[in-house]
Formats: sequence, C-alpha cells, structure tokens
Amino acid sequence: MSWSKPTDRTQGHDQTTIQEYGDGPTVSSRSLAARGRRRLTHLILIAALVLGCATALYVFRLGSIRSAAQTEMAGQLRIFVQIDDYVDSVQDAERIQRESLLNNDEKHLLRYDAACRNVKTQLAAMQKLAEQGEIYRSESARLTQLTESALAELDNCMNVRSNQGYAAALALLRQTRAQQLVADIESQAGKIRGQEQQEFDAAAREAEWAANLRNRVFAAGLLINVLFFWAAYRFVATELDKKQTATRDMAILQSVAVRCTKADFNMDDCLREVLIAARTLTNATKGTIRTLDENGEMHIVAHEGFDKKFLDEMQRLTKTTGQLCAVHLENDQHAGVENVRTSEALRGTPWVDLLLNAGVESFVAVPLASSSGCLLGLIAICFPHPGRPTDTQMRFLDLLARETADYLERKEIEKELMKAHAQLGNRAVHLEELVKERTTRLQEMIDDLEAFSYSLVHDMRGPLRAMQTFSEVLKEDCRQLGPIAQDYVHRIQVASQRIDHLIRDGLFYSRFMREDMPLCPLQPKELLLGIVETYPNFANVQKSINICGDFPIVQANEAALTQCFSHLLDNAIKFVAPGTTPSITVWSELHNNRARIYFHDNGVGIKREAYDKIFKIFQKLDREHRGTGIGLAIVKKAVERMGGSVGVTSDSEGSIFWLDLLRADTTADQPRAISNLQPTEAL
Amino acid sequence: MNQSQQFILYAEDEASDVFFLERALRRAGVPQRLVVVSSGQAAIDYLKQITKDGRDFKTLPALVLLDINMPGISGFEVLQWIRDTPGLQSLTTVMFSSSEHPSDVRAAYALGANGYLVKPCTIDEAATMVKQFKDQWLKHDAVPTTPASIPK
Repeated sequence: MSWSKPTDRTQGHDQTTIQEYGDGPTVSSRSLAARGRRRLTHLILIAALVLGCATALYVFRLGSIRSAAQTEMAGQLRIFVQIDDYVDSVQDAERIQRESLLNNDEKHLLRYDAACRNVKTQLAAMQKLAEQGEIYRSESARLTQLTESALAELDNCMNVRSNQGYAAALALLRQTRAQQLVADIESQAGKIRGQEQQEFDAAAREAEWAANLRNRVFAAGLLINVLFFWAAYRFVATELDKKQTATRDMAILQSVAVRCTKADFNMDDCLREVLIAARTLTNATKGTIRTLDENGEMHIVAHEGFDKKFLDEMQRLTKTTGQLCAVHLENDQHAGVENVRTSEALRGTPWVDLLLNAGVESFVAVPLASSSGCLLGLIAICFPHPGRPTDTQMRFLDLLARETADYLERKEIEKELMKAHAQLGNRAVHLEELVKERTTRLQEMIDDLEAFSYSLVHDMRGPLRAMQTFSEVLKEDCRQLGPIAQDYVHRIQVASQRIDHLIRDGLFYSRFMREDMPLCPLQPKELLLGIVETYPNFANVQKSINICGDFPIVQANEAALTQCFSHLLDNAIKFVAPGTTPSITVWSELHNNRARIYFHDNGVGIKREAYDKIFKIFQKLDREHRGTGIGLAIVKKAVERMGGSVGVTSDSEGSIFWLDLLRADTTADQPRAISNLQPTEAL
Repeated sequence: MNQSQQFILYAEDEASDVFFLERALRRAGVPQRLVVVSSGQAAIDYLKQITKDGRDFKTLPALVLLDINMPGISGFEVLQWIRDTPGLQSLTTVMFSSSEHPSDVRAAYALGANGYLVKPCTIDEAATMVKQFKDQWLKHDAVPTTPASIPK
C-alpha cells in the first residue's frame, strides 16, 4: 500500500486511479436511504394488514353467500318433500276411494274421509308455500283447481256408489276421469317440482362457487400476507443487525476515546488501540497508522499484522517511488484500491507484488484530519479479499480518524506545554537558588552588621566608663575645684550617664531582636516585688508602687520580662507632672485566655494619636523628661518575642499600660508542682 | 594563709580600667598586691614563668582577673589555658569584662571561670564590687596550700 506525496506530480496517474472510490456517501443521502427503508417497512406492514382485513371480510362475505345458498337448498328440499307428500296424499285418496267403492262399508268410508282430509291439509300446505312465495302462485292455483276437481270427482263417484250402486259407480270409474285428474295433478306437481329443482340446482351451484372462491381467496391472502410479513421481517432484522453493529462500533469508538484521554496511557499504546479498533470496525486483517512530520513525510507510528520485512520494504519503496494519493487525504477524502490485482494505479509497480505477498487484496485509507482542520497523517487498513468497506464502516472509520487526529493534536500540544512547564520549572529552580543564595548573603550581612554594631556599642562603653569614672574621681580627689568647675564636671557625668543608658538599652533591644528566648513558667508578682525592692531607681518610690491581687503564672523569659517590668515602672515614675508624687498600681486579669497585667500611673498621659508611636524605637514625646527612646520599644519587642502583646490607654489623669502574656497553666509544659499540688489541697 | 604575700594577677589592656581597679582596691583596703599584664599572652607567660621556676605554690596569685577583649589572645583563651595546665586548674579565675552579653557569661562559666564580673561604671559600684570579691575570694576562700599531684 502506498500514497503519493501531494507535490509529486509524476505519480499523478496513481492519484487519479487510487480514487477508485473517493468520498463516502454524504450524511444526508445515507440517512435518506435509511429513512426510505424504514418507510418501506411500514408500508409493507400496513399493506399486509389491509390485505389481511380485506381477505377476511371477503372470505366472510363468501361464507355468508354460501350459507344463504345452503339455507335456500334446505328450503327447496322441504318443498320437495311437501310436493311428494301432497302427491302421495292425492294418490292415497284415489286408491282408498276405489277400495271404498268396492267395499262401501263404514270402515272404508272413514278411511276415505281421512284421506280426503289429508289431501286438503296437504293442499293447504301447498297453498301456504305459494303464499310464502316458495312456489309460483299460478302453478299453485292450478294445482288447487285440479285437486278440487279430483276431490269433487271422487266424491261424485262415492255418491253414485251410495245412491245408484256399485255398477253405476264402476261405470263411472271406468270413465277414468278421476285417474285422469290424478295424473294431471301428478304432472302439475312434477312441473312445480321441476321448477323447484331448477332453483335448488342454482342454489347448489352458487354455494359451491362461493366455497371454491372462499378457499382460493383465503389461500391467496394467506400467501401474500406471509410474503409481506417475511419481507417486513427481513427489513426489520437487517435494521436491527445494522443497529447492533453500529452500537458495537460506537462502543469501540467510545472505549478508544476514553482510553486515549487517560493521561497515563502512552501514545504508542493508544495508537495501537486505534488501529485494533479500525480493524475490528471494518473486519480488516492488517493496518498501519502514519503521521506527517514537519517536512511533510509520512512515518509509520503503529502497525498491525505486518512483519518487519514488509515494513522495511514499504519504507524503501516509498522513498524510491513516492507515495500514493496523499492528495486525496489533503482534500479530506478517502482513498483506496478495491482490487490490487486489477488496479490501474498499481499496475506495473513493485507495490502489486509486495501487497499480494503480504496477502493484501484491497485497502482503504482515511485521513487523520483534526477538528481544527490539520492533516496529521492517515489510517490505512487492508483486506485479504477484493472489495471495499460499507458506507457505515467508512463512517465509523471517519469518526475514529477524527478522534485519533484530535488525540494526536492534543498530545502535540501537551508536549509543547510540558516543554514550557519544564522551562518554567527550570527558571523557578534557578530563581529559588538565586533567592536562597542572596538570602544567605543577606543573612550573613545582617549577622556581620549585628556583630559589628554590638561590638561597636560594646566598645563604646570602655571609653565612656573612663569618662564617667574619671569625672567622678576628679570631683572626689580635687576638692579645690571651684563651683563652676564642679558644675562642668557634673554636666560631663550626666551626659555620659545618658550615653551609657542609651548604649545599654540599645544592647538590650538588639538582644531581644536577635536572640532565642526560651520561655518558662514565671510568677509575675514575685518578679515585680523583686524589681521594686532591689532596683536602686525605685528605692525612693517603693511606697508609691502598689502591686495588688493575685497574678496568674505566665509563660515567659525571665530576663525579658524583667526588662519589660522595669521599663514600665521606670516610665511610670519618670513621666509625672512636676511636683506630683508618682503613684502606680499594678494588677492582673484574665483577658481572652491570656494573663493581662496592668500598670496604672498618675503620669502626664499620652495623646491618642501617639499610642502607636511610643512603642517605636527612638521616639520621644517629651523633651523635658529624660529617656533614651528605646525603653518601650524594648518592651514591645520582648513581649512580642514571648508571644504576647502590649498596649496603652491614656487620659489626662494618667495612663494604663497593659501586657498580654501566655498563661503557663493552659500550656502543655506547665510546672508539675502546680498540677500535683491541687489534688492534695483538695484533700 | 599569708595574705600579704599573695597578689592579684590582672590581665587588662585598658590603662584607665587598671587605674580604676587599683584605686578601688586601695580604697577598699585590699592588702594583696595588684600585678597587671597588658595582654593574654603576657598573662600566660607570667604564669608559665612562676610554675617553671618551681616556686612554692603560695607564690601563685590569690586571684586572676581576666578582661575578655584583649589584643591577640583573649581572656577566654587564657582561662582555657589555665584550666588545661596541670597545677593551675584550681587557680581562682574570674572574668572581668564590660560585656553583659549572656553568650559571654555562658562561655565563661562553660570554660570553668569561678565568676563573672561586669566592669562598674561608677566609683560606688566599683567599691561594692571590690568589697564583694574581697570577701568571697580573698578573705575567706580556702585554697590548696600544696600543688595538686601533677599527672605526667
């Protein structure tokens, strides 16, 4: 099997002949055919029904005719019997009359009377038949007349016998007038009977005719209906079969489609599935899938039923003689050869032998054209016998090809996407490394800077200490200094003290900023009392600091908390209006499951807009009051590092600073002593 | 214990600190002589000299005060050398520094310092401090009178 390149005009003859069948029928004509078949089936069924009804009606009608004829015949038979009875009665009467003439006794006379009555009765029956129209009235009237004449003759003779004697009667009898009359009656009855016989024969003929016709009509109707039903059955069976095949084919298509969408299914497996499906749909034995590369060349990407030798040979032939009929594929048309042996397109080419050796007698190819209109390759399937797939099979092949093309296109896009992803990923990794590297460098720089600033600040304290101490020594040892000199020395001392505080606070701040801060359970009240009692700053104001109530045990760092407390207390003392005795109240409450410690002072207060500002480093609100501007920044930093928070509310009568701290008795590592003590106390 | 014959060895590169300590010792009435060396190396050399001459154990200093930040060998290194040197392990050695940094304090005790003193900023503080270490290490402190057996 081979295909020509669309550009390869030298293979033009191949292109034209391979199009032995081009496009499959259009969808509309296909559906029209199917609709026609369905309509025909309906028509046949309706016709069969109508014919059946008509036959049944006609057969019924014929039956009625026959039965009417038979009834008529039965009537005729009764008339025959009646006529016979009548003639018999007349003959009896005549015979008995003769016997009575001979004997003329009472007994015979009675018999004669009975016979006469019988004749009259029979005559009445005959007259009744005439009245009913069963026999002609004229005939009946004549019969009546004859009968009355005969009876009269008989009576006359009897009267003669009674009155004139046997001889006279015998003479009368010898005239045979009565016998003549009886004979007339017989002939008249025979005439009537003849007429009736004719009627009987006609009815019998009609009945026979009706019976024959009925049988024939019934047989013919039955035959035609059987034919109709058989035809309808064939149509329906064919449709059902087609539908079943279509359902199976759809299932195959669907399963292929579903498998192709699975991400973990690789492309080779997927294309093999497609090929197997194509073979199953068309009952083909062999097949290949080929795709176009960027240069427009076909490559086999999947094959079924061919050995390697054939494939190699095919590849070689494709290279040397070019491909066949790809132009039709470009135009989204089917292409194929119905018989390799007789194909004009292949005649004289090496393809014939190659294909026949591989057992390929016919083949068909459908283009792999995606929904977006890209031609990606083809699916070719081969048959071991001449011929072509049915329209339905071609339709399914088209669907399969469309699905496969879409799949291939999707895969291509996925590949591109993966590439882009990978590129992005590489870039992200690179960026991450860069960030890591720079972060490390920055951290190193920060560490260096911190170490530098720490040692700088630390080393500043040496000379400062010397300044402080020497000024003190100067003051002590050189008592002859004048008051002005003393004042200068004092100023030096004060200034250097301030620098010292600044440096110490700065060191604390940087420590709380950088260092690990291990937390342990602490009793804040003990800490506060310790600070108030031992710190020289608070020696003069111990009585103004009022620590009231119980304090919950908090989870904190002792050094940091000490700094916080001492700074808050120090501020409370420092920032009071001139002439005011400082007064500080410290207490604690539970607040949102935290321990909140309040420091209420009677200081100058803080303006609302400055609440945030005061916790920032080097922010001083008041030039009159001494301070480094670091104290509250240390408090804030230290409290935050311990998982707490700090805040302030203030008015003209003073400020309330509060610290929120973690509670020790709600955390896992609370001191064992507390939890063990409680049950003991309860006892 | 013959206090008058004992001395305090002070390693310090800052002259003013030496001045203040001398003054504070004098004013506190500490009888021990103050021997000052100006670097870590000098302190080690000095101690080596004492032990090399095989002098009596009593000739060792009653107290060694070490500044931390000194040019060359730091106070910590001197402390480590003392604790590693046979015969000197029990020498009362106290770090005397302006640093209050916890890492310095931790390092000092980890290396076996007997104490850690922060350099005072005022004369009052200095007096308090000197009184403290006079009471702790110079007046009531019992020290071995014979050298500990020296492992070979």
